[in-house]
Amino acid sequence: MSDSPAYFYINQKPVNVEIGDLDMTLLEFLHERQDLTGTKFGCGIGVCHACTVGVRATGADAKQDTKAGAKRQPPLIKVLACTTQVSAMRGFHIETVEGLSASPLGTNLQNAFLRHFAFQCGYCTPGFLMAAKIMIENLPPGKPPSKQELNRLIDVWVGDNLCRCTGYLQYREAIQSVVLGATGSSRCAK
Amino acid sequence: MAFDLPVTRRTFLKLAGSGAVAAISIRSLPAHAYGMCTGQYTTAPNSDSPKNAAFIQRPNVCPIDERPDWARTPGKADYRIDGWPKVLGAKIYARDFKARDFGWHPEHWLYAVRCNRIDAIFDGLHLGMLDSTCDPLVIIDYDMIAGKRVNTSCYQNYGYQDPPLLAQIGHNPDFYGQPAALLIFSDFDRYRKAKRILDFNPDVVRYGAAHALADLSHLDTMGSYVYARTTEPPFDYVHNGKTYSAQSKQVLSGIKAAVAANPAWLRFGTDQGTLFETPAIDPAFLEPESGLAYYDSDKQALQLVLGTQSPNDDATYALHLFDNSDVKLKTVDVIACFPGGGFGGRDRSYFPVYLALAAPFAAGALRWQSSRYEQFQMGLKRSQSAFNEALWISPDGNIEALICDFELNGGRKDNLQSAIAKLAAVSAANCYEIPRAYSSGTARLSHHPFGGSQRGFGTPQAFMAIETLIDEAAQHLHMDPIAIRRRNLLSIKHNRKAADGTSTGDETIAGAPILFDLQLEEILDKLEQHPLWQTRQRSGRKAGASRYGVGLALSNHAYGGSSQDGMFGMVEILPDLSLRVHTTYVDMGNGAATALGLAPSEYLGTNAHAISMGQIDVFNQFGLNPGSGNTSDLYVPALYGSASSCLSAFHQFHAVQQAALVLFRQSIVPIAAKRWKVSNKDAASAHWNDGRLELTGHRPLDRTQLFRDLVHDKANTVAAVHATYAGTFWQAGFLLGGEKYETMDVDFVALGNDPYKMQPVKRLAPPKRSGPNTSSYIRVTFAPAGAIVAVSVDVATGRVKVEQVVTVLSSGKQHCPPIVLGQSNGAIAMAMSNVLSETCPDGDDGPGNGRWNFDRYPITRMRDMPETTLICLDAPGNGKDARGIAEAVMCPIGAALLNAIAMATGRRFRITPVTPDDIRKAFV
Repeated sequence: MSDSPAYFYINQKPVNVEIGDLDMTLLEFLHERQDLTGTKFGCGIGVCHACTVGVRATGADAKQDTKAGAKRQPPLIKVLACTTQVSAMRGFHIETVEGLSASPLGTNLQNAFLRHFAFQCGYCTPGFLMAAKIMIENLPPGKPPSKQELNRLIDVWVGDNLCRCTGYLQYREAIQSVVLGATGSSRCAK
Repeated sequence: MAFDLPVTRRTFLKLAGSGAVAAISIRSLPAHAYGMCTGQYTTAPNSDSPKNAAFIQRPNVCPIDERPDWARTPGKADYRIDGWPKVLGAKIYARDFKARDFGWHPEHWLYAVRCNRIDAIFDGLHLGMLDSTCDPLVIIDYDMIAGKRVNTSCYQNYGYQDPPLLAQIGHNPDFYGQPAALLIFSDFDRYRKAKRILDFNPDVVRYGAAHALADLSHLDTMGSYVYARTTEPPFDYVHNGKTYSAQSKQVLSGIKAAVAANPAWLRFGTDQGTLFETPAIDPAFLEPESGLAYYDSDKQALQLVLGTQSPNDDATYALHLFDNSDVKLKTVDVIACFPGGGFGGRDRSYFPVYLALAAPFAAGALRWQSSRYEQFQMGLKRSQSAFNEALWISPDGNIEALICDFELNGGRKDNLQSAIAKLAAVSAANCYEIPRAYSSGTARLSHHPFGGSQRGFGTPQAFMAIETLIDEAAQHLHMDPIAIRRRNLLSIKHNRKAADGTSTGDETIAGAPILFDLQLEEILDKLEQHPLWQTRQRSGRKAGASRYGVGLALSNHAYGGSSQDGMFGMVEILPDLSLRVHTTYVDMGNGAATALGLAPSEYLGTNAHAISMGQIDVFNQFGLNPGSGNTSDLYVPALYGSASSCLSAFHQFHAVQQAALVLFRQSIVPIAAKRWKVSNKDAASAHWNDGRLELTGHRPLDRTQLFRDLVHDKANTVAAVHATYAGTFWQAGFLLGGEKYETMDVDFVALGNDPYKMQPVKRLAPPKRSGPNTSSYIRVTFAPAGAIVAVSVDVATGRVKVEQVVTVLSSGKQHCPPIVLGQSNGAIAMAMSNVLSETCPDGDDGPGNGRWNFDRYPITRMRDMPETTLICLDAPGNGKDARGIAEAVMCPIGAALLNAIAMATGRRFRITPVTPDDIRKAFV
């Protein structure tokens, strides 16, 4: 690692990038240069969203969001790592599933996914976790949305993530529970 | 660790026949066993275990001598045992691993240059576009492997040789996606650069003149089966064994004569020129096949890191490749990772064969990652089917006769298509007693994409046909769709005379008696009572630009691998007093690891703290062999099979539970008896309650203290069993803890203190059946289900929206209800897009051209999902047995959806997928 300023940050850690790696996809870089394999390859063309990561602006962007003395983080943006070049990420903070436990929201989502038996093979799970976290971070402050409104938002923010195992319903319930505080599934009737 | 022992009878014969002195070992990724639920991801002990403990330490780990935190209440899971690694993004899939994780170096990369045409001569490879910065180290082509006397095809079966693995210059490529060459690159950077140049580059593979495809018609079918049954005169496969083949054609003539002689019976079915047709379907699991291989020429050993449902077969085929070749191979060690989805698509896939083929030509480890394009091009598919089927039904609604002929387009390489054709044929009559039935199933070779097993294994096609025809009949006869089904149901309660004169309940189309309560009447009752069915005729919903329809269907999916299935289970108390389960089974996401983790609780008072999946080594040490004769100590009737998704809840659960029972009787009972000062026999009647062993009139004993005493006393801490199920369990007797247990539901027991150094317990007598000889029954276990599907159909766009689905399932005992629910929801999603959108067309426009991805293969998305309700019936019988439901929950959905579309559009569709174009045409 050279002494030059960080090219970007991954899960709070400054990361430099060799010039020869700038044309890599972010997913390749995460896997092969950082050994962070939690972000998954599914299609390679940005359709399945298994490679969803969160990206946040830093520096000047952060200052623009300062309001009334209270610093707010810039929004977390959904980025598909399989179709995004490393060079496009310069100066950004990148959040991957490996960094999820660092935040209370991330831990809540992980616990909710577990308690709702949201996933099966689990290969698509990091993508769902990240998409859900990004959605929740982008909810307007204040009163939580109604269940109907939340479902619409889930369709928008998470609805493109593909899963072949689950039928999605327990994923949806897990996300709802984090936002609305609802408890587990009860539709398995006698 | 490897053992020079046969794995299955077939494998044994194959190896013996080849003269190979070879060994197979299969084991789970150490992370599975060490830390799945304990958080100790860094303690993997094997020298070649992943060094990089990805393997993130998760928070709040409980002390492992206490209750496992994934399942603190015995018999109940709070979350999946494999849950934490999956939400942490830990390394658990084959695609995650690098050579250095196993201490292997250097790491080379593999790239397959594939043919995307089969209609012209393959003229050779052009790699001139790769300069010195990205040229391959090794080019593996047909001539190269033939020169080293490596087997050029996968294996031989059914009287024909599989086509070559690699394309031959001067010949047509044998199948779409056939590699023209496998290129080995020295590192990732060269690989990455070369991949960019080679992907979709039309100049790489050169084709000559157009040339007709090879004629395959002279080759044998992959398999062909006939099930003919009449009740008058009695005739069927089970009871007319000796004369069956000769007479079955006459029976068909008799059935045709009977329907001709009864003009009042109405015929419903395909007519001249019309067929039921289902397309080839991709399993579409999310992790494209990936793997890592390391060939050690000094040790003549090959290690494969795979996500697979059939590690045993993968290892066997790998060995076969190098029989009598210049590449010396004595052992193959498969390290089984969690598959990122399976659905049958990883059961005898060809990916591991190619990886094994290339591995010896690398100078180090070899890493290979399929792209999604390659997965669509070469991955196993549900076989395309086309078939005739006709039902004859009396005016009062009795099904009088059935004739059908399933044809599966098996593709160019042999896989499991024969067994699929067989199950399709034997499932033709579904859950109905039909007095005259003739069903055939044939799998044929073709130039189509590779067929293989996939969720349902031929039964979704069978149920689609009969359930839509019955619905059509009900409509024609103005009968209630439930009423017509109810009067034809199979039942264990009916008293009939079998073909051999014995009394029986109803029988399958093979003539096999129904052995268990199928709960079909209850399923229909629940469906009939449901508001969705009661309100299906709401006229208001037919107004406007959309049409509303509600359809219903039943299914009787046969789960299990055959009429006789073998299974292993092992439980181990570790020195830290935690409990670990070992199983040959693989969890594809179906929840098997979780269910099996709960299995020891009844007899050991706790759920497992960890589980090792895909662990075949520890069981192969016993050398059990179905071919050894039943007086041999090594004899068991059937060994074990691949990890199909419906084998865990009943079969595998039983094996692990029985291993726990053995350990209880051998080690826990004597210690408890000593403490209580009672006989071992009395102590054996104790039961667990909230982590304490209780016997009336005595002070409860704490589990952890009992385990501690057991470890301290050097009592046996590991127990393994083998069991065979054939309608009932084969039984044998054993001396355990000083007591004789004459009739246990297992046929082999071993005890020890180290999973790899187990001592068999001598059987008191050879194992014996505890029920009828079911060897000719084809299948003995069924998981019936019924579904109601409601749809709205947009008249203008032809779009079908699935509004609501209600499933009623004879699940037996649910080990973990949320996992059963998840299986059901996933099956609904899969069946929806199977019927409405998924297809892998043949020819140059299909996925064989290497340009298919998820952008042109729509599967059900989150926003497409309807409201769902799953109703699981109370378990019949003793209430303790579960049924294998992972495939069963999908089986009625497709047919019910087609029936709903028929109600909404007034048109019966026999060809899937039913596209918006098809729907729009129905309204013209």
